[in-house]
Amino acid sequence: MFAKIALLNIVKHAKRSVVVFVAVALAVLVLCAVGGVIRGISDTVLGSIVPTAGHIVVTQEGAKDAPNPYDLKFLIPQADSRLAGLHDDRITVQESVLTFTALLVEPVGTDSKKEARNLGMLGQGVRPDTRFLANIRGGITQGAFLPEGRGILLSNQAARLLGVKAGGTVMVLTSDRGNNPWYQELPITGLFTSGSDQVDLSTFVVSQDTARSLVDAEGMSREFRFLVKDPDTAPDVAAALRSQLQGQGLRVEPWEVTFSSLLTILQFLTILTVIIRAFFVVVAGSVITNSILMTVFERTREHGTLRAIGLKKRQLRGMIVTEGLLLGGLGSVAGLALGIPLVLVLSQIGLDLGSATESLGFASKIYPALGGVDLVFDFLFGTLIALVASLYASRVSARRSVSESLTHT
Amino acid sequence: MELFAIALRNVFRNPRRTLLNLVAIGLGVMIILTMKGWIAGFSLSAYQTTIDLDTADVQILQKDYQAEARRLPLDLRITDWPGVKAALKDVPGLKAVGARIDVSAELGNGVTTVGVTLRAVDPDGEAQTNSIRPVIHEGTYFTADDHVLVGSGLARKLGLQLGDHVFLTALDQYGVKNLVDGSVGGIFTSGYGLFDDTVVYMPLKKAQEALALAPGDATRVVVKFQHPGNLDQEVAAVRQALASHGLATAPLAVYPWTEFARSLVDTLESRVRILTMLMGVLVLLVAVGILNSMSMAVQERYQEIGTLRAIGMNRRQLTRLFLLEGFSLGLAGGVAGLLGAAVLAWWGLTWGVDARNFLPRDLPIPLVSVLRPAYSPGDFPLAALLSGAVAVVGSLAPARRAGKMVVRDALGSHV
Amino acid sequence: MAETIISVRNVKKDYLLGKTIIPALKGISFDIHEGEFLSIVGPSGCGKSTMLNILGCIDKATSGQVTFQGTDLSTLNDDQEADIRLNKIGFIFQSFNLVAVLDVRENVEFPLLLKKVAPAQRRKIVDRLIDLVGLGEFANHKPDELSGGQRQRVAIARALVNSPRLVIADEPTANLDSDTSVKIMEVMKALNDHEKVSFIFSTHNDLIEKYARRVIRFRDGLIVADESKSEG
Repeated sequence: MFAKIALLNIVKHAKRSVVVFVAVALAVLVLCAVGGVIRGISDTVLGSIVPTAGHIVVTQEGAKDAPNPYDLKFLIPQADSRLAGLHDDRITVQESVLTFTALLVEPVGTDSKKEARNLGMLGQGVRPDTRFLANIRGGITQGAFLPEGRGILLSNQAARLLGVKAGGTVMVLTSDRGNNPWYQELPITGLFTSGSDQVDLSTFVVSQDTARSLVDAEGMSREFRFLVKDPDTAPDVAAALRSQLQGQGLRVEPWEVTFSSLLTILQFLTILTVIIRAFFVVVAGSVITNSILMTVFERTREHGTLRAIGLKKRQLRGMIVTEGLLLGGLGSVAGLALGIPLVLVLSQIGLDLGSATESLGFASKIYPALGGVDLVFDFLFGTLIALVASLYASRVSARRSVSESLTHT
Repeated sequence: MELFAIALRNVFRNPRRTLLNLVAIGLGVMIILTMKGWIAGFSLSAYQTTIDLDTADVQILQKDYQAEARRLPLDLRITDWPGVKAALKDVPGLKAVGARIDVSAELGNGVTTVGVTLRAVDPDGEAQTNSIRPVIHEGTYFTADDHVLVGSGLARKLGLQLGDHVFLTALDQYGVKNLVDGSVGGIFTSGYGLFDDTVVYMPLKKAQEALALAPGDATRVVVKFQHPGNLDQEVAAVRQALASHGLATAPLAVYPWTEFARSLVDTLESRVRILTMLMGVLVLLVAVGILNSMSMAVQERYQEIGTLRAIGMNRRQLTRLFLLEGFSLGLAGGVAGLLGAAVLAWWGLTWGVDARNFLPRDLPIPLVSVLRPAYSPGDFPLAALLSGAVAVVGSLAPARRAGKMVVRDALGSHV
Repeated sequence: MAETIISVRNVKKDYLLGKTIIPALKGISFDIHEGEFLSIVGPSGCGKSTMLNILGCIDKATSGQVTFQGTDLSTLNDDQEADIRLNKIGFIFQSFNLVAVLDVRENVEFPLLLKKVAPAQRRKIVDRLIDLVGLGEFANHKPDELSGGQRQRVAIARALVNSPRLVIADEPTANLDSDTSVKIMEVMKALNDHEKVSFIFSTHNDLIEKYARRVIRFRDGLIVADESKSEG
């Protein structure tokens, strides 16, 4: 009956109810939308940035802190056999990658007085069936990812800057391990647009064999990359790999270490959004408390009557809280009804965060995402605001004596 | 005025309700003011650093250069930078003009090499258009022809000290790799990690020789104004000056500094957009709260309204009374909020936040110093007035309802 | 002699109005017996409503003693007072004070819900009382669909639903026209006769006063007369 009275009162005092409803809905909308953005950023980090580089990376000791981390003296020898010797059930993918610096130059023409266009880039020497570089594999606009033989995959932007096309060739200038200059003219077997200017303008892809031949590093690679079933287990798996690689002069790093600066930024953003959300909750809470108080005060005489006919104080408080909970629940549902489609739309079109975030590893566009647990929390939070407000209002109301309430105008 | 005094007293009739409203309005104003201040401070700091360290106010490039800027092309260059400089000498408000050649290079210490951006500069011009000179903390600014300036991050990576011999290799305009050697004449720390870790300065003449370029060649001409103001006007003035010196048909393009800091500007503007939307929701929330409170106030005072009308108050005056109450509430909340914001602003302006301590060094946002908020003198009073205005908007409907009440009905059943 | 259900001894009640103490009751003593149909009369401000509030556990005396079936009301806490109001006292208000969102049946039923009476039993009791007050065909109507007299009858039915020992009615006909007032008094009198419930009501209307078998006159917070009428 209390619930029925609460619902009937909500309908009867529709204008007041709408205020509480709208305030809760707005607060939950903001919680849902802001939460969706943070989740989108977090998903981008965990879902695409980290897997692109690997949940765990193994490199030569000293490479990370060296002045030039791409120095060829930091290659891992006998890479293939060493990699094959590493086992852990939690690992789903393990590959070796040879990253190297190179100058890409447009093929030499007949006009020797004209500068050949050139671009300093980072080459990724990978297996043709690599599970990494998803953003590149998914962004192929012409040709194919990598052929079995020689070939190079370039971004459309890089191709434009170098004045080359798919089907044409490009010169790749490197230095080998003896610091001797070396070059190969490679056929352009594919073009891509990854969605990140940072990646497009700095990365090209060749097969690992081609990379090894370019830098004269037979059987060597820059790093081993691993993907694990559950990213949270990366530190444990890294520890297991470390013991398997003990004494071999290799450094094993889980993604939390590799991407520590990214994680710091993510934490900073999370804290910022928590602060923003907290402020919203407090402002909404004030508005809601005020509205519920006013609703309760309007019915002081009615409450006095009910107490006069035997309703106890705690039963009166229960009635008021039931109404608040109902309004909070309905408002939360409305907030989610607005917030979920908003996040879904943004998850399709993306939210432009500006291109400076690209160089952190974030794409300039973030795709907000919904999380089931987050939505439950948002719902509970909205309901909680109304609950706390109505608890306060119920205490204020119940404190009045019956006679005071009856004579209230 | 009397009406305003009455309105103010009415606002404090119901202390609890008023307090809750003041909390909502005050917090809202405080959040908005504080965020505005920090975003403005951050933007100002980042933009100013970009201008001072890197872009200057306006740049002149070969017309196709910017589209190919990523590859730092030497073939798309200005061939008579002194002529361009001379053409600009009468531009109003001009401070200085400098010339640069930017090219990808490798810096080596004889043991290791790292990829860098080599910035060859006209020393006098650069000193006046750029603030690299004041941040040299070891050595001097180009006191010898073979001096190079390296960032402290780079120096640390390669273990360089003053006087050390270094080698720079770069492709000249014919695509031939050339080596130029020099000595470390100065080490700078701008505070901008990316800059300190990747940029090397050398005198323009030396670079021209090494890159097989003529003495008049440069990839950029940078322009600094005494008191930068309207960017569009400055760009227009530079274009006008070039045209009037017969350079209108030369393959040149004039750009404001924002062109070269697009990613930074984009990023900050997108943040501002997102925060503006959030603030909009906050304002809506507060307005809804005011609407509700004022509705309640009108409802509670039916009899009083009837009495006021019965003793001669007209509808307009009554409506005005309630609007003034709403305004007073908003103003009071706004004042409370701006007091809170003022405390936070004082803290921020006094201590600031050294974001470099917890943000990564390679963040492509120039944070060279402690971050502080930035406010214009009008921000605070405007915020208070705006919150009053929002409260008036929220009070419109209830105030109109009060004004429309029939006296007899308002006096009602208590007679 | 019928059993004494309420005993009032030297009850005083002061109200604080700003810094001024207003004595509403200055020392009241009387008893109420089972089955009485008693009226408290007096001019405005004489303390009638205050007395009824104290008897109904809605307010507490400043001093003196009120005993309800042997229980000193001043010793009760809030919940105990509510229990007495629920189980032993019925209230009828001048402005009816029905719950606007509930229909007639639900308004009358409300105290039974508080007592957690089973639904079938509730229905039986409520239907009987609604018929008793002549509102059988209005059971599903909301208060705003009823006349003043009908609303007051609902209030009477609600007041009786828990079979109280005493029904307190504060100016029950003040908002009704004469004809309706008479009808309401007839209903209350009939219920007093059939259900053997004591009724105590306040009024300043001579016509209504005539229905009482005993009249206690108040003036300025004191009893100035206590008159019993013989049955005629």
